[in-house]
Formats: sequence, structure tokens, C-alpha cells
Amino acid sequence: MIFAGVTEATWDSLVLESSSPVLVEFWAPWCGPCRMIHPLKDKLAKQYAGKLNCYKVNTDESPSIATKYGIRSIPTVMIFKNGEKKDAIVGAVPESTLTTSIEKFL
Amino acid sequence: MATKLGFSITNPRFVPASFRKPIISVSASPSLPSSASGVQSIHFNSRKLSIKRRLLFFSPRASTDQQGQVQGDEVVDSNVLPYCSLDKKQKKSLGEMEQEFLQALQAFYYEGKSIMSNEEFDNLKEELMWEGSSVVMLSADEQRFLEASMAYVSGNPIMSDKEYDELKLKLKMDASEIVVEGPRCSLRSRKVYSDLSVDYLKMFLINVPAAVVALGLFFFLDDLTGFEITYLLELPEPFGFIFTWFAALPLILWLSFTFTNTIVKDFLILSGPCPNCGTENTSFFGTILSISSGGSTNNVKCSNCGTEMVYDSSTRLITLPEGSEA
Repeated sequence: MIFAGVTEATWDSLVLESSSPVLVEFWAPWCGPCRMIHPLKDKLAKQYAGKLNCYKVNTDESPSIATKYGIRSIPTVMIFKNGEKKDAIVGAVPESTLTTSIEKFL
Repeated sequence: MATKLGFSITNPRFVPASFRKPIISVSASPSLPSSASGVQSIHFNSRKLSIKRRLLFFSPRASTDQQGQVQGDEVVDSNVLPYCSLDKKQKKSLGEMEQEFLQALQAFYYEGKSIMSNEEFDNLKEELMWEGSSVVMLSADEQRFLEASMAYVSGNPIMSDKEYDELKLKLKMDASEIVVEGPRCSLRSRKVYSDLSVDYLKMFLINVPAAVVALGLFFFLDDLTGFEITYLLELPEPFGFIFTWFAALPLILWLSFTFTNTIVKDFLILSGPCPNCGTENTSFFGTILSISSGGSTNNVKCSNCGTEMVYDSSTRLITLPEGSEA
């Protein structure tokens, strides 16, 4: 599966210590707008396969990660590079907004 | 390539080399003994000429030398700005440069220290402009907002949460692009929110019926007065022109705005995406013939999926009514 889930246990190794840029989506099953952008994320993950690692975080299962990065609303897409948070996009935005942000950090 | 060629010609390292050779060759060539000053001057001219010719002859070789240098690992060239380096590993991505730019601004204005020299800052700014970054074109409020967001994430906030939210709402009212967020759920309240924006096209189009009426009235007046107005419009230049653009047209526009304002008051047309399906829905706020649309909130049903939504014009937010499932 391209869009693997991350939990508190795997966060450091998968996201912070990754050598390539990482895209993380924070979501929850009860959130309607999250469902709206799921197909979009799968498409982006395929499009940038090899250049960008894509993961998702269930905020119900791993609330401490969301708290650590000050996330108030979901879906939130964050881009990490060299273990640093580079950009955050809040809400179900159109595909073009996501691709411009991704392109900035590749 | 053209600049490289120009550079190689003016490069002080190559010029003396191409000068030296011709001077030697020309000075060796005058074997004919001559005492006439006229002849010497000719020699002198020919010497100059040959130098020029040699220079031209040598310049292509000089540029190939230059290319050979570029092919190597290091490019030593004072004309190349630090951000223009061709080396992929050293070149920073646009996002990283934007972040650096904001950090520099923040450090300068809020911490009173500079993290880079003025020259470095100017180079960075120029490079961002060149790349078409929106960050350098931001208004003061937008820059302050981005800095505040960054400061918050780094753990030393520069403004209170209330100030931050106020600034965000102000930017939203000004239709700033950087605060645009899609439909989202609050983690704490589990409520669904979506942003509203002003539909300027529809706000403009609402004047159209009144404009048609005003135009009709204008021509009716023209007809009543026995085409006196048409006569004024067709006055010889420049009077006809002045009358059309500075009297007739403003009058029609003023009439149409007045008509619109007597019928609808304080109107605002807001549109936003439905949190469930993303379809844009518009809603009208204001009073039509003294009947209010219902204060600052409107209930709207999505035209696509039928979701009930509440539009709030004071916070510019769409929420779902209590008890409904997102």
C-alpha cells in the first residue's frame, strides 16, 4: 500500500528520519472533508512515487502527534524535510494547491 | 551563452594572452628598413589591426576554455549569484528559500538581530521574485500572519491567540490567498467548518437589471425631449466625447447604483464549498425592499448533495447545524 499509516511508535523512524521529503495527512474516520480528499491523496502518492513518501496519521489513534504539531483542524497535510516541518495545508483543498506546495519542496 | 562569450572576452586572464602573441609576431615581421614616418604609421596601424583580428580569432577558443571549466565540478564565476548555482545539491527549493526569507524578516523585526547580511537578503529577495514567489509580494498583514504562524510552530509565539484569530479574519475579509483553507473539522469540537468568500462577480451582476432600467429611462428621456440628448452626444469633437463620457455615462451608472440600493440594502453575496461534496453554494445577505434576509446567518441547502448548512457572514464560515452528521 502506498499510503501507509503512521503511529506514535513509527513516527520518528518513518517521518523524521526519512531522507526524502515526507507528506503526512492527519485525518479521522468521523470527518467528512477528510473523506473528500482521500482519492486525491492516493493520486498524488502515485504521481510522486519515489520522490515523496506519503503517510497518514489517524488523530484518534495517535492524538499526541497532532498535539505536538499544534493541529486544530483536520484534514491537515504537512510536508516534512530532513525531520523539519516545512509546510502545512489545512482543509480539503483542490489538487492544484497541494501540488504547488509539494513542488516547492522537491 | 552570449553572456558567457562576452564574459570570456572581457576576462582579464585571457586578454593579455591574446595580446602578447600578436605583439611579438608583428614586431618581428617589419624586416624592411624604412625611415619615412608615413610608413611607420602604416606599420603601427597594421599592428593594431592584427591585434584586433587576433583577439577575434582567439575569443572562440577562450570560450571553449571557459566551457571546459564549467564541465568540472566547481564553477568559479563571480557573475553567478549564490542562488543560481547549477549544482542540484546546493540549490535550495523554493519553499526553503521562502522560509528563510520569512525567518530573516522575523529575526529582524521581532528579535532585533539579522541572520544574514543585507546583500544576502537582497539576493534572496531577488531570487524569490525571479522564481515568481508570492511571499515577497505579500502585504504587511500577510507577512505578519506568516511570521506569527512560524513563530507559533517554533514555540515562541509573537502574538496572542486572539490577535492571531483577528488577523486571520481580517485577511479573510480582504480575500487574501494565504489564509484560504478548505472544508475541515475541528479536532476539539468535531464541528465541520468551511470558509466563505465574497462573490464579486455576482455582486456586480446584481446591478445589471437596474442598469438596463437606467438605460431605458435615458433613451425615454431622449425620446421625450425630441432627441435633444442624441444631438448633444453627436456634438463636434471634443464636446460630444466629453458629454458622453463625463456626463451621460456617469449619470446612467449613478442611476443604476441608486436603483439597486433602493431595492437591496447592505448586500453581500458569499459563496463557499459544501463540507460534504465540495460544491460551491452561494447565499445572499442583506435586505430586499426592507425585508431582511435574516441577520448575519443564513440556512443553505447544498445544491448537489442536499446537506443543510449555516452560512455566517460575520465570521465568514460555513458550519453544519447541531446534531447533523458530517
